[in-house]
Amino acid sequence: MTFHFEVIFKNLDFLLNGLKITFLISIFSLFIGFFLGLVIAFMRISKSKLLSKIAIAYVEFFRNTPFLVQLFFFYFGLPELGIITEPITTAIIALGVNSAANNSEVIRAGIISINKGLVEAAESLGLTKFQVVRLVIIPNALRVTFRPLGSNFINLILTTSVAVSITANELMSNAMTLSSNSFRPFEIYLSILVLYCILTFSLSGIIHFVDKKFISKGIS
Amino acid sequence: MGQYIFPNLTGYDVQLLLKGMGTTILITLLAIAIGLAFGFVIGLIRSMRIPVVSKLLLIYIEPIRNSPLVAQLFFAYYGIAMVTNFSPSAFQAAVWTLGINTSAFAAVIVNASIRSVDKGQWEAAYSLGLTYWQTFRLVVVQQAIRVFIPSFVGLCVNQLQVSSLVSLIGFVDLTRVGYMLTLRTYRPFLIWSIVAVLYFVISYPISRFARYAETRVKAFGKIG
Repeated sequence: MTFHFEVIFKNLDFLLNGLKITFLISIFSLFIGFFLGLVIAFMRISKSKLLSKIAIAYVEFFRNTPFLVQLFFFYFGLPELGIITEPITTAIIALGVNSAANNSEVIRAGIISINKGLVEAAESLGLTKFQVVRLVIIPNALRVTFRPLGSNFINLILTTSVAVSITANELMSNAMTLSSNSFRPFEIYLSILVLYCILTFSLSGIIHFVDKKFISKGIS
Repeated sequence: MGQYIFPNLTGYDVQLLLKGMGTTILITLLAIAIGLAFGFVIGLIRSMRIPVVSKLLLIYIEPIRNSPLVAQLFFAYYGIAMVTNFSPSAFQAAVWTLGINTSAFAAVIVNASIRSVDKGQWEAAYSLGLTYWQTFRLVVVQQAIRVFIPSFVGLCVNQLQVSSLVSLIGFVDLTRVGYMLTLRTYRPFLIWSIVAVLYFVISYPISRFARYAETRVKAFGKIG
């Protein structure tokens, strides 16, 4: 058994380009996932039966079907309806709408956990409904949900690797290309595993730090 | 619109889809069995809080939980065969990778469930003269299982979803059948809708059960 890890260093640029696209996909789908998740969470708790039913159906559908199938549906299925798809954009949209389902559950739990008295106090001060949502409900809900949303984000980064199936040129796709060109799958995939670990460990370290220093400060 | 109504799908394709569904269920069950066996042992040892061993087990658990399953599958299927004499079949690679992946998550759940039991329960049992195993079996398991079941069923649902990734190493599960059918019929919209619905049919009842179990546990918690 001889290992040739130099294949990694020789092609580091190629892999780092993949990492860039992984970041790009993660960041954009994080935004879609967060804001869509927020909307769905409010739909879910709204008094309108219809909106709440739609939100439930959305969450249940995306949580009970594999992400890979959703991605294939978007990437291969939509062109049949005349919508032209492109790998990176498709990956962003698919990941965004998928993580919105997970985020909405977390945010909903956060909103429910808010003390009713807080909302009533805000209303009695003459704040409009929208102001209450914007100034009281969302900031307080985000405080509680920062950590779980963070772990959803880490999950999202790990899930970007599924985009290898539509060759979105992100880290995992580039690793696959590299391994089929160089015949060194062992070294390459091992390095990729380590790289993802470093990425997620440092990210969860940052999330923990930010949460402790800024977010949960003063919450007993 | 007429062209979308099952143009090229035959009875054989339906058989194929159902067979794929069976394979997906089988592979998930095998992975969960492996995951539960390993995860239980690891979680149990972790719950004993032995100083060094506990940290060593984290070296097993954390990398698995923090790296993508796709990379793990590719590593097991393509990587290991390249440097050793052992070349796993797609089935072996799929089941074992998925199983070991499950074990890391299961270990965390087992550990957390056991630790959720109040220390006083252990002390009370010891003071009554029970051994470690007697305490574990007669006192702790009964209480830990309430915390364990909802999380574990949730894990099962999750592992069912990610089991679709084994199609990427060429193992013919439900997703792979869908892929093959789209290549033949050129009806991706229809086929992927069917595949999604089939996954939903397996997954939804289980996740409903998880939710039900969770509410039951919460009810228990309030009484006890």
